[in-house]
Amino acid sequence: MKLEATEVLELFVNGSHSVVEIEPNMFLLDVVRDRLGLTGAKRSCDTQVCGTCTILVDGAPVSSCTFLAHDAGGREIVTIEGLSSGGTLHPLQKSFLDHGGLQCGFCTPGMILAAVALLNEIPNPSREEICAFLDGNICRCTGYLKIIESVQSAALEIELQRT
Amino acid sequence: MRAFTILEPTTIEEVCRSLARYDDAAVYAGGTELLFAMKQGLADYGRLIDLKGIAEFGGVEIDFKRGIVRIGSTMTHTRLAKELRTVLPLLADVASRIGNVRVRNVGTIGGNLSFAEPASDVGVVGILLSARVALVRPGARRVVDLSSFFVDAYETVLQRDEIVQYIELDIPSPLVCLGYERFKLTERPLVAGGVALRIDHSRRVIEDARIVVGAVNPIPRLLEGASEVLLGVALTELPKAAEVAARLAAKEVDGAGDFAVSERYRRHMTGVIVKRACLNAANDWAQKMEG
Repeated sequence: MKLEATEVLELFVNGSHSVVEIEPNMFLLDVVRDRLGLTGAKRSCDTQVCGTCTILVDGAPVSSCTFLAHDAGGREIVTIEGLSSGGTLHPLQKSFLDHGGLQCGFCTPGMILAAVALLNEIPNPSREEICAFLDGNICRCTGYLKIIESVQSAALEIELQRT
Repeated sequence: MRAFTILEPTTIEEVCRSLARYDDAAVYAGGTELLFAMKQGLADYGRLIDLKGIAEFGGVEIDFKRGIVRIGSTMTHTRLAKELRTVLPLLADVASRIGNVRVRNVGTIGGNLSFAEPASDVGVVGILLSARVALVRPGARRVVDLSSFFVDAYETVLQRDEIVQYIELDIPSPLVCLGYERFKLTERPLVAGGVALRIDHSRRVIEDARIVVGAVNPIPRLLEGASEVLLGVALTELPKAAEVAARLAAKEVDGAGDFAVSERYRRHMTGVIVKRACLNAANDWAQKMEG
């Protein structure tokens, strides 16, 4: 058992290996934003309710505002910056753009990452399943209809790409 | 939030020793409630003891022969929702609706019960199914009925150096039908009600009934008066009896109001929820009979 003021943390973020020195009380959100410069994830409510801080840890969405960076050590972390590949947008990113699934864009990184997790679990989700999975990601702008359409369209596109 | 150290023990003994040794230590697994409380300045610890590395706190054991399910305290709600879907569908369903998907991925059943948040519907389902919890401390383990585990809002019978190791539930008999209903205004339920009815199949009569309500009391509890109303009731008379039970339930709960929601509203919604939960239990029975 260690009793140290700082700890050295090994992270696998968006496919890259990083080593950062952190204070144990740091949250994943702050490490990702301030130490790694990945500012897509946002701090908004800071109480795990709004979802703007959503980051995928081993494929599962977590509220990075209240998730200790320590607990992310050695695990696969995906932020919004990790979705596109060599300049090509992820089908969900493209779909959100094509269908107008965003306005101010503040909730969008979290919303898209949550949708990534949804489609990994349920490749062809019903409208109810989309709403249930994404009900922890809050949007003040769109009224959600375009978000749902974007997810439905991306699901279809991903299926088509698979076959 | 002040600086703290994270300890990563690998045995229960190490955990308990640390808890006994340091008065500024707390255990955590997901941390969804603890870290939230620390950020808000409602709790303050210099040492956090990570339970995720303790094998005895993880996993689900299903003993079909004895009809018992044992759930490790560090199981997340997401995993429970998946793994218990066939054997404990009501608990799996409730686990699948806690908070939001991010909370479910990180939060654990042990943490949920230990934090004793009044609005926890895991506590309601647990008491409904007569769950037991195993509590460990240095050199000792005791098993407590979940109905006796909660003392007050955010307070349990856990001693300073004691932790929930697992929760144990009986797989409900096919003669028991279950209903559950809850009402949410925000992320946490305003009222949650569960009903368990044991049916005398040949006479089509309720031979045992449990009505458990949470969120409108400091702790989830069995409503004995409301439950008694349903005893001996013929299934055909259940809708009428449910109305009576619901009215009594509304009186029996603590129902204390706050600045957001009045006592009158809480009691009214308790009645609504209990009645619906009773009817859900009747539907559960009807589906069992069809299938």
